[in-house]
Amino acid sequence: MLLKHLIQILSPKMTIRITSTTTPATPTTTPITAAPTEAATITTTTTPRSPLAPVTPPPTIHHAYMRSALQIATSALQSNEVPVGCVFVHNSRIIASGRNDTNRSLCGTRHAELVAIDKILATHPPSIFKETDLYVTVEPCIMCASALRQVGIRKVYFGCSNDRFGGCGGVLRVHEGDGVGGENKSRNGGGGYEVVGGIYSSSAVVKLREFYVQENGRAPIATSKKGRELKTDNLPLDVDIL
Amino acid sequence: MSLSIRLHRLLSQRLLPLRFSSNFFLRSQDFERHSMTNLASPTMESEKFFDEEEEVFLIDKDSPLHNLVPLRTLQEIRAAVETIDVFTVPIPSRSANAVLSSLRAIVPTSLQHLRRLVKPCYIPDSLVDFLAVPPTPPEENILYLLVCPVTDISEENLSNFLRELPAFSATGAIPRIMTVAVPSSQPISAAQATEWSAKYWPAVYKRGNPYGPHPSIVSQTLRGLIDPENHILLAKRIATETASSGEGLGFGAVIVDPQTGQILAAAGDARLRCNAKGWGNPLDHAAMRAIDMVAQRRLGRTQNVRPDNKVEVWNGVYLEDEGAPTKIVVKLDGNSIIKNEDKDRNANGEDGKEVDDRRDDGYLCHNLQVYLSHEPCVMCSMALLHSRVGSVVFGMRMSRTGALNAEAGGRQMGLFWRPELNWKFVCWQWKAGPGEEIESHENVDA
Repeated sequence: MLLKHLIQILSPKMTIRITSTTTPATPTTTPITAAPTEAATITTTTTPRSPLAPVTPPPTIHHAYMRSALQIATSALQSNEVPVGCVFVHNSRIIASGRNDTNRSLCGTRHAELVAIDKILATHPPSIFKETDLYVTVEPCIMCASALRQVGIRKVYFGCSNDRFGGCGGVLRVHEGDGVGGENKSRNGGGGYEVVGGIYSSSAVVKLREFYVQENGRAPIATSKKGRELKTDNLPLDVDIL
Repeated sequence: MSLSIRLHRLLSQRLLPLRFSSNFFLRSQDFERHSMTNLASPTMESEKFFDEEEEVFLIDKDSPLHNLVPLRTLQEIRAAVETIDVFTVPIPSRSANAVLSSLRAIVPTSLQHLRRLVKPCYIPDSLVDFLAVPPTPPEENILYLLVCPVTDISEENLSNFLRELPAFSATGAIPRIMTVAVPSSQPISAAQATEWSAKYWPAVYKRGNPYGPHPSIVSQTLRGLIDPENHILLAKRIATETASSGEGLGFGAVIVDPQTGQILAAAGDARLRCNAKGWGNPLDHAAMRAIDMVAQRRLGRTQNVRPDNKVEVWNGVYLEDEGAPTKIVVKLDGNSIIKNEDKDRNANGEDGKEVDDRRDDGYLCHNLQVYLSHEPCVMCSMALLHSRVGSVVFGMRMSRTGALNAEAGGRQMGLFWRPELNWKFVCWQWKAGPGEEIESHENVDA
């Protein structure tokens, strides 16, 4: 199943190349025809490349920040919190991280973004946000999307989208259009911010699924989830960013 | 009438058996049902809904509850304005049943909220000229048949179909096919049905509301509101004091537990209050802070809800836990309160048992009542939704920033009741009386 998924995420062009390496009888692929040396032939036949190796895009700095956010999400999962993590980056430096804290605090608004904003404001003035980008594993919810706009965040990178209550396109589009809040008046017709989604989205989704197969003991009527399995298929495609 | 008497009346009414009135807000409007049931209409249910015995929750003429205006949901507003073009034909009333049953074979039955057959006398005034009675023998009674949406069949096919029917094939006189615009969704109240009947086409209100809270839920929740007048006044008072303190904008919030009648949190806006470093938190809105306070109460004093921005009761408002429920003291002199808070904190610090007494095991703000001086912004509205509140009453509408109202002239978000979100609550605006207006910061997120 894993292999199937990997093939799914490969671009069509790459899939063709893999096929050609495993069947060297069709010498139409560019590397072989361009330089039909013995050495080249040996390389293609004896060491078929791993399907993943050639297609993984060079990780960008955005991937690195998102990996940090994913690590924080993992720590949230270990603390029995909804596994969402985020980092705020200012001048290429992570100035704060946050993870969901709703279960410990008994407060439904303590989402990763708001926890991190509290931390930032303890040491930095609110004006820092207009030069700060957010990396968060899950699309900010409607509440956080509005909060980010009100503090004036510059740009938001997220992993998977949130079709339950996402505020950056999942359900509503709080980040754009007319509205109040935000210092970056020049963009999106006043006060909004740019969003880029899909960075390591499959990892973010798997983490959420790991959490939601558990039961919510705090809910007034807890749903039984005995029959549920952790699914690893039907994952969203990770998006390469420039 | 004094407030205590009002409250007493309110409470005594709450002791009545809980039987709902389906159209509690619309008692005064009587739907003309009896005359219409005379019409033969095989596809229509009888009017049994209206004949059920109902306990009516009457509000005193001078009750403060009259100030509460329920908000319409986004879907209700959309449903109220969307129309659809339909075909209508005049047919002889004696062949109505035959025509209808033949028609059922070729077009699907839809638009159950509209009368299928209508006597000319019930045709709305605006359509009378357009639907001029066709030249039929004057002794013949005519009914207008609502055929179907124009998208279901072409006019030509409908014409051919009618020509074949025994009712018309004998005389060869094909009735004129006309197109009229009718509401595409069902009415959400008897009053709306009456309005549509006079404007578009005779409509039927079937108890229920697919586009928002069921009328019985609205009236039940209204009955459950604990002293809304005093609580909204308290929220406004906090707003005024917050503004004059300079620590925040003039917004206030109060959260009440309907089980006990106790005020669990009262908070003013605090975005201008500077921390040790000299700046404030632009997200310290009144509703957010009140939600934090409820959580802090549940969490006890050994842990902080917000480790980096301690939740504090401030702004001259504090709560007295002991004694009668809903006992709240609002003091103008901030200093004396801070002293009291400190004393309280020291006492609790020494006595661990008392700390535990303050804890309660509720879930978030599940089904609590929230009173706000102003319509909350997107962040606060969604925070209330995340916190699973039961009902919200706000004072001033914020047309530029408010996220609860779905009516035109605002952001039209209607966040309190949207099918795609995982929680919904009932919402009212408290219509301020003259002189009760609070300064509105229209460009600010409340």
